[in-house]
Amino acid sequence: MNKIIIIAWHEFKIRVRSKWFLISTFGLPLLIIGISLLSGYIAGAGLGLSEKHYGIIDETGEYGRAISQKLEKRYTSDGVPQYRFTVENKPSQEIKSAFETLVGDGNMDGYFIIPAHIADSMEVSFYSKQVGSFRDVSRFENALNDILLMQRVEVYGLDSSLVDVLKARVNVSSYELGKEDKLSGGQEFFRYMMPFAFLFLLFMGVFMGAQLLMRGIIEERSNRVIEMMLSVAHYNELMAGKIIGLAGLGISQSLLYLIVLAGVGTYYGINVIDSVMIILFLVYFILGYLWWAAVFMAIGSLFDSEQDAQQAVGFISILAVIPIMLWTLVIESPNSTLVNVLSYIPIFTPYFMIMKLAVSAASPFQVGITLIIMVVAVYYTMRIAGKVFRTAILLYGKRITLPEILRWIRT
Amino acid sequence: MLRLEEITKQFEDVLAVDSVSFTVEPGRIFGFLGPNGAGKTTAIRIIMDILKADMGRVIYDGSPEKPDASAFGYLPEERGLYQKIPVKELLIYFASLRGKKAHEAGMVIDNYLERFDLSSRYNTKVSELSKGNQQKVQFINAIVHDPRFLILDEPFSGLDPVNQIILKEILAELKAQEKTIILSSHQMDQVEKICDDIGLVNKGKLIVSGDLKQIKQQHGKQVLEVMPLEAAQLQHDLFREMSGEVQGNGNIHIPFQSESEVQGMIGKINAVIPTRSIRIAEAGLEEIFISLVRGVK
Repeated sequence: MNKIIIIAWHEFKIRVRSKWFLISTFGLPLLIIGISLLSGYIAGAGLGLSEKHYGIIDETGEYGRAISQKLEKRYTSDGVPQYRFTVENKPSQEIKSAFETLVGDGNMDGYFIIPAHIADSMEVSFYSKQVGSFRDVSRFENALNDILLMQRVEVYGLDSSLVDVLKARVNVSSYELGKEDKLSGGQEFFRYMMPFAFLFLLFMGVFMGAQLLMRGIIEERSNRVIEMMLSVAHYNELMAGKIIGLAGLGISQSLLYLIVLAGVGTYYGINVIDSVMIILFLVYFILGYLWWAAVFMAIGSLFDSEQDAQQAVGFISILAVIPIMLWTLVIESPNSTLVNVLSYIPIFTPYFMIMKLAVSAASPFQVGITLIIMVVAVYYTMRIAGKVFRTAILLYGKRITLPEILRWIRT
Repeated sequence: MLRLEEITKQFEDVLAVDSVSFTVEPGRIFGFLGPNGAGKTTAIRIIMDILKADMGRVIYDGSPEKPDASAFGYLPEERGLYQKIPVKELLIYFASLRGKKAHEAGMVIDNYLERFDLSSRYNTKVSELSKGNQQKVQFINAIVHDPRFLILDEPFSGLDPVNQIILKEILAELKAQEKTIILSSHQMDQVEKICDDIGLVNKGKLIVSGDLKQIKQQHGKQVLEVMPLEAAQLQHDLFREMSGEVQGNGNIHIPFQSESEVQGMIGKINAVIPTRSIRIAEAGLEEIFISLVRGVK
């Protein structure tokens, strides 16, 4: 037991103090916070905006100017209009080709053609080089619609004050259960992203930990340290020590991130983390980590170099990424049959369960069953991995075939 | 005391160790000798319980149970050191895995680093040390915890002559402390001077084992040792005709059946090759090994 602790502490210590670990552990949250602050600042300060120049060829001769005035007045940053319009009321082929040249040279972002019978056709054409101006187009649409609406109100002799009443739209506001305060857009977004954050944490911790374990084993195998280690400790002590040391690394990293997440949650006024969630997160983390650790340890014991091992790992990693690809599905329909079925497959269980827990869609029964499944899966995977590890670890410079591995497992 | 009883180990289609038995007495150095691939390392791994024997058993001080790791000082054939860890930290790590307290081990380690002229490198990463210095660290690692059994696989590899002498001195001290010492090597002549007993292995089989002096008496023979004036002459056709074996130190050993032939041989050599010296000498272990292997065939 004592040796397991010494090995675990050693494995933990040499990695924690490595520069890359420090950079990645503290760098990642700082980077995420930094980027979100920066993007907020950029949006708030109006940086990254530039005046847009659009042309309007107005066959009716009455709407173009009105729209341009409306938009130029409405959208400004620091008093400077965001839009500039060139309006032509006498359409001709020359003007059209002149606009085309301007757009082609980049001196104009695009131009609209308002047809003569706009009131009947209700269709405006827009020409531009790139398709990124959908926000501007929709603002144009709104402005034109408002003008047409006002016109109709007058034509039919209606009360113009009715316009605002008729235009009123229903707004859905979100509340957190048991809370009286309305959720802001940011809060809603945060709640939506939170399950993903948990998933990401779990994935990073489990996968990185298991990968580090594998890399360590390959390194020790290739520089023959493993032989020295096996002369001072038993196979089981060595395996247990390494697994525990790297679990400690993953858990401390995840806890740090959870604290950051909780901090960001508090900033948005959302209580992200309750104690049950923390405990279940750690339990699923440990079980998921142990399962992957066993798999990666066995792989590591088979290869002399990391390049060779990466091929085997690449295949398995595809499986590990499936939960990440399906995260929106879990958030939108956490009780669909697909999600439920995948929750019971050991490779996926921790990821799907943590997401289900984050959206409060896991019943205690489901938690219980999945924990039992995981414990059983971990036990048998560890046993098989242990056999492979023991047999393969000292077979240097020899290509090990699948039938051989299967034979070791059976004995 | 360490005793191997009928140890056998098969890998797939190779019989790596074939019913090997020998005894290593405390206070004596046992040379476990043979060419590369003879099965020495496999046998040593079985002694260290890193590999399990298919048949046979190892008796450690009268018991078939392997004592705890603290009883063993092991120097594996290939450098088994973490590369990115400073020397002293590494040595303390392994010592603590063998039940030593860090500060106790620290003092012994400082002492040995001093002796091997490595004091200034205690905080250097292993990877930055030369091959020879890594071998010294490896050796210190094998002895810091004062083990009863010392299992040294090719301990002299990579060491310069000065450090070889230091190592031999320390081995002599450990021998005086009644340690049980196994020393394996494929350079038989290099280690024969420090061994009390030897076991010669070839292709997994033990050819001969026991007291070195007795073995030399039994199997030893005399040869004509010739040192030509120029080293290039060692390749002379005449030596080849006489089936001479070139030695490392500018000598060539030529076998003869009876002393009556010697005069004639000397005459022949002197007629064509200028020599520095010609004398009758004892054959080295390697020659005994070769003649025994041929005899087995």
